[in-house]
Amino acid sequence: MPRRLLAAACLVALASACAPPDVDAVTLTLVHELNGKALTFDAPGSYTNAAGNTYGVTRLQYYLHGLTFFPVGGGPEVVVKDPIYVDGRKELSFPLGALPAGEYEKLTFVLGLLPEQNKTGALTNTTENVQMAWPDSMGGGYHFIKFEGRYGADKGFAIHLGNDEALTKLELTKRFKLEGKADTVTLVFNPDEGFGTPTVFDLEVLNYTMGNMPEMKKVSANLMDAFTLREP
Amino acid sequence: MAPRRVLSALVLFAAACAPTSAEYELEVPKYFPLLSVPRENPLTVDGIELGRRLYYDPKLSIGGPLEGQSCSSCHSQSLSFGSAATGTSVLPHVNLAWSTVFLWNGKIEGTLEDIMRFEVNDFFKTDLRGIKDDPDYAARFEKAFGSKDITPDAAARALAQWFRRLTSTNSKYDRFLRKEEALSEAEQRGLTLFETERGDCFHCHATPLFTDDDFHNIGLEVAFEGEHQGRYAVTNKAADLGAFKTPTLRNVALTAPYMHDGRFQTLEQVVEHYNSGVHGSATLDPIMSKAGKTPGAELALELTSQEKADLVAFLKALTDDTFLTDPALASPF
Repeated sequence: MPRRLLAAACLVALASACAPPDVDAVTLTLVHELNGKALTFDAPGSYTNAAGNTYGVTRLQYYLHGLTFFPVGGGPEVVVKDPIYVDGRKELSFPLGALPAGEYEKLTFVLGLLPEQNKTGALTNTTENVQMAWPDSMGGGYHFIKFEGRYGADKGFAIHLGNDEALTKLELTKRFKLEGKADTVTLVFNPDEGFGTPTVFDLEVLNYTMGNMPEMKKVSANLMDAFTLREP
Repeated sequence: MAPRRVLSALVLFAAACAPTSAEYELEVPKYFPLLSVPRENPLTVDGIELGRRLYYDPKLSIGGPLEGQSCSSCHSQSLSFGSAATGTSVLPHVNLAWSTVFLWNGKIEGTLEDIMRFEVNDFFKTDLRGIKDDPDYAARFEKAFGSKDITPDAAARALAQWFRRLTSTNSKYDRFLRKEEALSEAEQRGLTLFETERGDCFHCHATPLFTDDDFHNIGLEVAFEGEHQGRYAVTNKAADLGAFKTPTLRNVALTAPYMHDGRFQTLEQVVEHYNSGVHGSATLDPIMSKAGKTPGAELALELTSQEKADLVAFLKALTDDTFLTDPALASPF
């Protein structure tokens, strides 16, 4: 009996030694660039959208949720459960914790919140989450994104998305590695894509989306190309 | 007994007998944001009571240019700790426990302790002689903080605890959220206007605090001189011209006059400003202009008379009589 126990213990140890090690500290870093230009807040006329509107940005706040890493060659996906709240004026690096080291071929996530958490009161009542609340009379839950700014002499735009129908699903197919004790995944977000393809938005015609589901869905479709993975 | 053991025993005895103030558990509805309380200044029964006394006591200002006044000289409980005085409108002292920017232009940023240091040192400019000369206060400071030293910092900490205590959470709207009471039909219609793009109030006056603790130019002026500069006076950033802190709307029916300069006397005037009185400028908040409306009326809400009345009805449902009459928040003198 003791020999069998010893053999079993060795097998367990061997199996553990062969499991992929973790990268102890993986960080997600967001970079905001509008058509290749770094995002600078409160700079009038800094950016030009597909319709030719020149504008400045005053607010960029959003959630990313359901980050899922797909290993090369299959294998169990690695999911980061908690949503990430991003305020473009503040911290842009977020700890994801320990994730398995290795090579990955795809990263998927949503811009916004997955339906199970897009319900009033589902998120912890931090000040940020409370201020992202989407009114109950409009379906409840939370804003997925608030993208605001100014154009022209005295006009503004407020692109707000919310409700499950306007959830943007992103799928980034690109090989990348997680390795070492600590590593970083860098996502570049170009919110100007929301104005562009396939639907071109002219701010003189539509500059406010909240409560307008057909237009929110168009913006959401535009934003499917808004993120890219950046090489380290 | 050897001297060291006696000394040790005495120290232990003294420590056991030193006054420690009981912790104060602030009750806050679950739909409110999480409350952050600095570790170095926890809420205690004696700390809050000391802060309350300092708030109402004109002795606080002795030695400074406002000698004879107290905080309560300008901030009345019955007016939600606001003031009916004309001219520059005072911001009411309600739910500031969740604020990180203070005063109309956000001149002071940080915690309640930071703004209270400003109030004690820079607003009242008091040397606290009126407080230090009062033996009752020495005992109260010791009970609250374990020391008889009456310092501006200790006074600020006591006031900060008191301000955290000033929470308004029992308006008709709160009771509606807790399913304890129904809104009237007019109030319900007003709520819908408030939190949809029709009125679109909630983006800045975010529930449940009815403020986003941020700064916005809401189109009161086209030129921004003097008191109308707003946040720009602090940051010197052109984008902040004409932007002022979003005041809470809790108890707003009682906090006239309205706006940073007290230009509006009634809620109807405030609503009409948003409805038809917004002036465009390069720093007008983006929320305020909506394309695709009647040409020339991009900055107008175009509310009907009924809608305006409904909005006012909802705003009145934010009145919290408990807060306005609670003896625990009244003057102890």
